[in-house]
Amino acid sequence: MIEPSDSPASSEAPNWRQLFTLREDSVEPSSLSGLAFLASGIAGRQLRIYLLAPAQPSYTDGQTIFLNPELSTTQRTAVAAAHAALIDAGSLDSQCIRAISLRPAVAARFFSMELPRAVRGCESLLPQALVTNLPLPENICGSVEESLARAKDHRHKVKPTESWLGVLRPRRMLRGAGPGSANAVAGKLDSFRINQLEEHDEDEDLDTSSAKVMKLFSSPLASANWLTDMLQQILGMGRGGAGEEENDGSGGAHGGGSAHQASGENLEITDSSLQMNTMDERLPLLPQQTDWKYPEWHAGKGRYLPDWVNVNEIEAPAEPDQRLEPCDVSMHTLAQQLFKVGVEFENHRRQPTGDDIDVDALVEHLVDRATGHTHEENIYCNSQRTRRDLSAAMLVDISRSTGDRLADGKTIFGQQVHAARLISRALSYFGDRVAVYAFHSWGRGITRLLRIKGFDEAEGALIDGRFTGLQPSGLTRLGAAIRHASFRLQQEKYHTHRLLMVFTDGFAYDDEYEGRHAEADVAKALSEARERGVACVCISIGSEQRDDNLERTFGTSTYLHCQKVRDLPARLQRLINTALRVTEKTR
Amino acid sequence: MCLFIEGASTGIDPHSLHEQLAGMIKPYYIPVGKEEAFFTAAYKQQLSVLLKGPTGVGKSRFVEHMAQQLGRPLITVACHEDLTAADLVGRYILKGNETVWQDGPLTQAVKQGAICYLDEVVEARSDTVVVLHPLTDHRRELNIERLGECLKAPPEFMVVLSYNPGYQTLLKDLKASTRQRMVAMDFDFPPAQVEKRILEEIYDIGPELTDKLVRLAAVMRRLDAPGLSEVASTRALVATGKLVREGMSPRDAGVAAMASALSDDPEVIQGLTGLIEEYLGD
Ligand SMILES: Nc1ncnc2c1ncn2[C@@H]1O[C@H](COP(=O)(O)OP(=O)(O)OP(=O)(O)O)[C@@H](O)[C@H]1O
Ligand SMILES: [Mg+2]
Repeated sequence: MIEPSDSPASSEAPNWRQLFTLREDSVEPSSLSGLAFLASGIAGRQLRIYLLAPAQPSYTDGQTIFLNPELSTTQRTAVAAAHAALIDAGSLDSQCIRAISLRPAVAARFFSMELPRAVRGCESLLPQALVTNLPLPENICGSVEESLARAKDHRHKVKPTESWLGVLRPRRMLRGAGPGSANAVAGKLDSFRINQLEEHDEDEDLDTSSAKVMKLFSSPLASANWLTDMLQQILGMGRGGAGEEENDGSGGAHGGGSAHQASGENLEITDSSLQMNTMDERLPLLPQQTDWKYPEWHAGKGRYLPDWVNVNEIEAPAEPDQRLEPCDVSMHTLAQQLFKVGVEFENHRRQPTGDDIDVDALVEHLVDRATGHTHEENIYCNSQRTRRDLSAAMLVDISRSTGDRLADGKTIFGQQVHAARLISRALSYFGDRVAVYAFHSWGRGITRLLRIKGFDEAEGALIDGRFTGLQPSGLTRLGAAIRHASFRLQQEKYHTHRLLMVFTDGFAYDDEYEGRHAEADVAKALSEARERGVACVCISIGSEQRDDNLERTFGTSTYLHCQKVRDLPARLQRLINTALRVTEKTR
Repeated sequence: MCLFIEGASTGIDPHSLHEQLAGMIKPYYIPVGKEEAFFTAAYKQQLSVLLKGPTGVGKSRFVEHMAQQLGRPLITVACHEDLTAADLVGRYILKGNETVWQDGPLTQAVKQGAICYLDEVVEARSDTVVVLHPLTDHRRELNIERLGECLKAPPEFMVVLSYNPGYQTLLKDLKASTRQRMVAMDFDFPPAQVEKRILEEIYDIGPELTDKLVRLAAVMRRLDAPGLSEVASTRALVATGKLVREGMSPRDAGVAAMASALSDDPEVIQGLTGLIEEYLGD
């Protein structure tokens, strides 16, 4: 079900922020974004530029180029370009780097020889002024191997590069899982090995975060146990686990509870996993339930955390005798709006106007006229956007926070669920393919999608029962939920238009998933979806989330923040059509 | 529907005209490789050609050039999703009390022995593209169902299709049976040397600015920024040069033609602007 080796975790839960926040001694001023583009273009892959604290020499770790802030503007450009060129030239591939990582003097000689070689190699890409500014020696090595050999041979004289051009930091390079070790797992193992090396190394500091990484990998078995324990418990697979939890509000002494407790945010999380446990007794596991792993975007690091979130999808339990919270929109008004959404051209005959003559109709018309009858001149064919061509999935946030009561006594949860049901019915009625999912999460180990209606299921009492059976609980790992729903939509090959409608209060929040990190991950998940041809629309009904937060989270896609469901229909059609159009352009 | 009829009618031989004026007029197209020979061979063997490549790399320009070289009229149809078979073949229109048949561009091209160029052909619906099938295999004939006629295409008639595989979706694609009937030519950004000649010889952009533009374009084309689907094309470089000739600063012209024009994402525009400044600033 889950590969333990992919999921670093320890009995002493790691603090994710410590692991991945960038070093405090560097910042990324937006004025450097031009340089970042320059470096990315030269290296042929995405790089970022950060400024170091004063007096530190410039270097790159393969993902980011760290610049000394005292450099002049032209020097900055030159250093950024030169280090990007090193990446492009393969000078920093892991085999070379590993060979010199423990020998600072060799590394310096290697750097002095590779820099000119790399710059020469991409000369035609560089601004002319820069090429003239960069002091390039006469005799330049022909290959990395040659540079490496000469660097190791101390009899060989090497002219050191000027100090403003920065330095090579092999260990930072390996830790950054540079170009040569793009493979994620290999990258992690690399950093483990390197951290060990660094313990007896004075030039590079062993900071707390890397110490943690090392710990993670030092006990792979422990982490595996922790994860399986927790999942068994949450999924209700372990015997008795759930029951014990219920009586013991402290979270228990084993499994998920203990792991969360150590993370410091135990209260909220342990509490909600309790709810989940009670609920789980009714939730059957699907016969072939599979778990999906999705990456998460780490904005601070500027890269994905591979296989980071575990998502499972199960059928929602039906509670047929319940009723939905009332809402003041009729299916009729919604249907009117949705009728014009996701439609394509189709040919119509016997029209009063059009581009082409409908010859049959014309002949009849002429005959009628000749025989003295008069009819309307419906003798044209034209093409109109009337052919339904849409697959739509709805994703409803049913985390605990959506259960809050609004001023009028209704809940965000109830309003969202109701709106989703109406829209689902309307679209199904038009013949579109529709799926509805509810989701919530408990840390990155489990993001659950409850399938209320699958694409192949027909509307009916069973589906209604699943809508009424929903309860708010858990947290909101929104990015993973979006990735999974988008994956489901991508499997839909029947139609041209694919639409994902996300109903959420906009508080993306989960264990080690909040604030800017969560917002950036959601924005990333939405743009991934769009790039794969899935149009996204985010709808917040009655949310108290501030608009600037919503803007950051959903800003890249179309979103709607309305106070009441009543406000929804009037804006829905524009909203969806904009999203579909934008997606079409991105593709 | 857009329809352009260009080039000389069959009577004049623009080839000899071209010869005469050689040395006096600027080149219209600068060959990148063997594309002229390839196209001529396809033309002589009555094969249909599919031009693939990103936007603004000279596909349309090349077809215009070849039509001129071969002395054939060129009929261009810009394809779009509403394009119907009738738009290509022709239709009856009402005139007074009578219906009159009007030829579509494809029928005109067959009758004139012209080169018929369908630009962005994947935009057209596949049921529309199917009318090309009998024209582009050994039959070389156009069925006009409504007239009950079947036109035989003369040997000079040629079909050329173009499309940009980059921004296509998985959903929009040419039918395999259409692809089967084509020989394909891949276009990409011209190499630096050719691009320099295009800017200098055709558009009179000075060597200094040309050098900067070509370097900038080389870096931009290697960029893989999210939110940037198309990069600076030859067309964009030409546009920058033209704006500079009108007195704009290279930096402003570059930003107008290569940053804002390519993206609406403020962060991408900011990054591109910074990049452009590195090359074209002061
Ligand atoms: N080899 C070339 N010789 C002369 N001009 C060229 C050449 N390549 C590109 N150009 C210039 O680039 C411009 C754009 O080319 P063109 O319009 O043919 O692009 P295209 O490939 O047809 O693009 P699209 O797919 O957007 O239609 C031309 O107007 C011309 O100025
Ligand atoms: Mg063109």
